[in-house]
Amino acid sequence: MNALAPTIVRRRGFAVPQGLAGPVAAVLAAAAVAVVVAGRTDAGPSVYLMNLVGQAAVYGLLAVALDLIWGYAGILSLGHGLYFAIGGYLIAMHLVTVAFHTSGTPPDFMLFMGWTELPVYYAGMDMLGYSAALILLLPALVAFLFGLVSFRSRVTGVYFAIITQALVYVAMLLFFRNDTGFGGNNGMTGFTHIAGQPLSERGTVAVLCALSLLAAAAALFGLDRLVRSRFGHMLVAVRDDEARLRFLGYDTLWIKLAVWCLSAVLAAVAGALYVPQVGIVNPRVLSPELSLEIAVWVAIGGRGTLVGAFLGAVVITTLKFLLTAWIPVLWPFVLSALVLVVVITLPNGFLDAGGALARLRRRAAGGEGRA
Amino acid sequence: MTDGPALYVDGLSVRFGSLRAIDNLSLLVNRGEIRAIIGPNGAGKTTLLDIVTGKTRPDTGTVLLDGGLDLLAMSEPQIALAGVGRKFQKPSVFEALSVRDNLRLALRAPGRSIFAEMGHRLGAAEEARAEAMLERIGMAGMGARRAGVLSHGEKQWLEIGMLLLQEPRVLLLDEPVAGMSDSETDRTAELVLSLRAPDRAIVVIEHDMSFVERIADVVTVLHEGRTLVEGSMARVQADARVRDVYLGR
Repeated sequence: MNALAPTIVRRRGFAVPQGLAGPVAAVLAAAAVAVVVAGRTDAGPSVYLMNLVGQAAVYGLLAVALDLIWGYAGILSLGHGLYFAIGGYLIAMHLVTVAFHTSGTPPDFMLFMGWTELPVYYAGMDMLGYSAALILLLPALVAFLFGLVSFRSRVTGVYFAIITQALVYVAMLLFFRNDTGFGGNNGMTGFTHIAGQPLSERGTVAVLCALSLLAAAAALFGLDRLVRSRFGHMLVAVRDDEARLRFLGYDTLWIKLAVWCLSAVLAAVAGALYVPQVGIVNPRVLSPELSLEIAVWVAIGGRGTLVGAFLGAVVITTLKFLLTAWIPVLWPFVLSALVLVVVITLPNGFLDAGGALARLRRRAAGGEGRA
Repeated sequence: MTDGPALYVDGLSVRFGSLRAIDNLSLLVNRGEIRAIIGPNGAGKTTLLDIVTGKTRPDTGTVLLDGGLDLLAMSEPQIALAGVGRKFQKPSVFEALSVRDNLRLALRAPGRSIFAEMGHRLGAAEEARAEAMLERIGMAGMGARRAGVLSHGEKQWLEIGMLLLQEPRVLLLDEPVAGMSDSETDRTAELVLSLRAPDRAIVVIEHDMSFVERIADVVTVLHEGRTLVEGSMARVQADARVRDVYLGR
């Protein structure tokens, strides 16, 4: 029937391969080990390639975070760039503080604002442990407050999506300001060391790439278990019929808040892994375009599949990277065409290609016509 | 728990704009009873269920469970956990989940907080209850089937089974046989009759008069948000006002 998958589960009339998360996570973890080993020698992939792989893994993690809330709980966020940015900006704050304290070179925004000291909220940001704790706690807090207000008022569906988009846009406008201490429209760059290791060195690049691969692997493996647990069934129940679940005695507010905060933290971890690898953060990560793109990755890869979302992000960002280097003007057309093709022929994403082919064959064989 | 009627509704009124959906309604449902509520469209039947289950807040009135528990002060999940089960008009099951997982989700223990429930793993006794319910609703062997592919009747039974697992003291059924075939209606009537228990009140909203006749002990006719007639099916059917309301004057 289908060589891809151990089992096929028919869902909403489409066949979606299940049980791929474990194998994909294992491959990613193995790749992480290989990258670390290669990073200790001069053989193997170039620094440039490892950097690209690391970025792709981070985008995959971001897509998986969105798929968790959209694909399973049915909560569409068109502003997940906000949490990605929180992680990215926090690690950037840590990196510029370290650079300032060790080399004495102030970050650009201090120079053009005429400041001699870092703003007060940079206190303690030279400690990696404290920064890492903030990367986990701050997005959870922001997501909790925003989620509490929205879910309590029973804002759902497209209205919720619009509010998330508005919020990320407001954040972008705020971060474009120069006097906030976050670098304004230039953002923050000039990072030198992370955990005492020079960021320019091959070994450090390899470790960052490996960490990104491991984070994606852990997310795929852990979330795959989560969505098959009782809590995962609650998420699907919220998506399919939230009122029914409420009348069964579940206060769905807390279910939604829990998964929403978890997704936000995962997005922030992705942001914190992304920024040291690209060497810069600026308000572009808060642009509505990025947040929309995340949803496109998930839709193209397949909602509610985790692996599909991951692969969607990796394939689309790789295509974008290749095409924008080759013919930049073509990319928007290629992306639009891809979206159209997937929406029309593979409504469950390209992970459903096997199911779509089977339906075509049945139709060609003069079967029931419609699946 | 005090010994009052299973469901006590008094002086209930709710307006939607200029429409009086429920108008000074009073209603008593005793334990062990199957009560049918009938009435033309717009009589306020579903609004009444919405109020009892916490979905709609009334302007004035009292709704008590077991004579003591003020349902109007509680949220939808709290009311459900207090023992009020509601079956929706359109079959409401979780389509992407299997039949068995639907039943498992219905095993929401009132003693567990929502957070404990999120991390809970079902024990052997709970699994056994879900299996027994599969049997009881006549769906043994269909546990692994995805609820979305069930027939209309099967979805209704599954939803009733989910409610039964919650052991409700007041069971509210909103048009349980709408859209069912004759044989499915027969089977549902048997199922509803088998749900009768000394400590449980069952309230059924239905348009199908032969179904109502088969199951109901007492029939309440609602009209324009008020009780028009209350009594046995024979008495209700003989009442001239009821005929006027249904046929129009």
